[in-house]
Amino acid sequence: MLYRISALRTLLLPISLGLGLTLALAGCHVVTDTELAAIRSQGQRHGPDAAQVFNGQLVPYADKNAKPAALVVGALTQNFDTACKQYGFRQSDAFPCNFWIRVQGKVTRIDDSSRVGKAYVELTQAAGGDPVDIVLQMGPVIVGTGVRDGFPGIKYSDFDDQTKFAAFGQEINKLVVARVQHSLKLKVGDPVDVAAVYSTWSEPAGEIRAIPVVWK
Amino acid sequence: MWKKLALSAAVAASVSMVMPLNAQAAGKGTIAILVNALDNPYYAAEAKGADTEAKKLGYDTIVLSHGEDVNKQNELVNLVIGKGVKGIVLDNADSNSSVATVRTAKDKKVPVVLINREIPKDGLAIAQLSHNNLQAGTEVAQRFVETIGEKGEYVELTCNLADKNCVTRSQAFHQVLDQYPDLKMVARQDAKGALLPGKQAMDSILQEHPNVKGVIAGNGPVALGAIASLESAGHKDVVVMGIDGSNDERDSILAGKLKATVMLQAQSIAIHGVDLLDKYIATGKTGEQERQLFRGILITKANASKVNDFYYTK
Repeated sequence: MLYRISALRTLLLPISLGLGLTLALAGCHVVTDTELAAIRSQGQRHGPDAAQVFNGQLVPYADKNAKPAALVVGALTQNFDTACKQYGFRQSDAFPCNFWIRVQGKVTRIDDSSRVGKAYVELTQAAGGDPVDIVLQMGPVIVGTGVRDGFPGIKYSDFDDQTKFAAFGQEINKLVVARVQHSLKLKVGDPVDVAAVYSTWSEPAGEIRAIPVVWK
Repeated sequence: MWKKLALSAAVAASVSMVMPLNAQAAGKGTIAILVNALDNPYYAAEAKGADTEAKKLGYDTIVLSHGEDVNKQNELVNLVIGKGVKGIVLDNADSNSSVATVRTAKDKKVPVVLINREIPKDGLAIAQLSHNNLQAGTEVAQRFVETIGEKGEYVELTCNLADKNCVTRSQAFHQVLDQYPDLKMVARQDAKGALLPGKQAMDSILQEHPNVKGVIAGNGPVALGAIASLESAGHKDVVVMGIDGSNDERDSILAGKLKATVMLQAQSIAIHGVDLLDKYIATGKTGEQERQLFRGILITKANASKVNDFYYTK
């Protein structure tokens, strides 16, 4: 009898353990590394794709919204806040005001002594108007994130931290540089018709440096 | 047990040293303001901004420091919740570890505004206000390269790589500086965010790299430490720049030693935090986005006189 109970116990123990384990595992789901990474990143925003935004939205936006540069510069020299409200866009006070300007004129100087390459453009003005120069940033280094920050379709809250937001801005700048180097090869005397973005915290002091985005 | 008793005693001591707890005293109630260390000018400016604004709006305040200790922070948050505060303005001790702290407050219906440091979760704090460290870092780095030129050797002294803001600033520096292949970073060292380690780091770096043209530092104290080292070694032409914008940095800029810094708007960020908290207490919502950035202001000799206690006079 003792033997029988013992045998029964020996038989039942693995069964009950196995059943328990099965029941316990019934609530579990084994995941792959890829699934685990996806679970861990739940709730984190990765932000939009830079190339899609740039080519699909930003370039058309720049072309459509650029205002004559002389008009914007004239307003800016009068009053920064008024000009920003009328012609500019800023997400918040954490960002400079960004102005989309149409730069139409003639290249008077090329400065490639720095990696922040510059093309100086004298705007075509009505007779009697004061000459206005705009400096187009030609790369390979683009200073600032005006292209990203001047587009209302992208907000800081689309990302979940500053690093991702900054990386997006860098990607956009790389796309700008690639575009400039591909098809905006300027030399002195060339006529230009460019939609560019100028970012500033205040009335202009010194060069008005703008980042070209689309041109004819 | 002893550990818990000791911690409770430390918490009680830190509370009583700063201000008596009187959460039920005022007409509009009390707001708790928790920052890292009140003997640090930056955090003192945050506390000053929040405290002044809260009192202006009719609140009493409790101002406490957690000393960047997550456990102490949790104790203090629980303590002020227990005292019935209407809300908390918190510069947290650690981004990831503070998620649970903020969740605790939310579960107990006490709204929290985070200033300076964000947490990696939305929907727990009613607002997360942080400095645009990327903008601050890229702006000072751009000024750095324009000042020292696009060729030569430079040193980076990071402020404290355990702090996400310091990591972000370093990333920002490199986003700019790494685009100049002839600009060589010959040394990079963490200086723990303080003046003395900054000086010591620079002392040892100078022995190996006497020809550096510039030093870019993750915060103000480290930049001032580097200047102290360079001065004592007779390297007065080396360009030093940092981020923070304390009165000490302002004075160093005016004296022609520190070439530039970026002032973080510690008081403004704290004031806005209290304003949002007040609005939330009154209406149940802030009416603004949870995550907001504040710009850093580039400070050079031209505008340094406008800086006072991390506030920029326009």
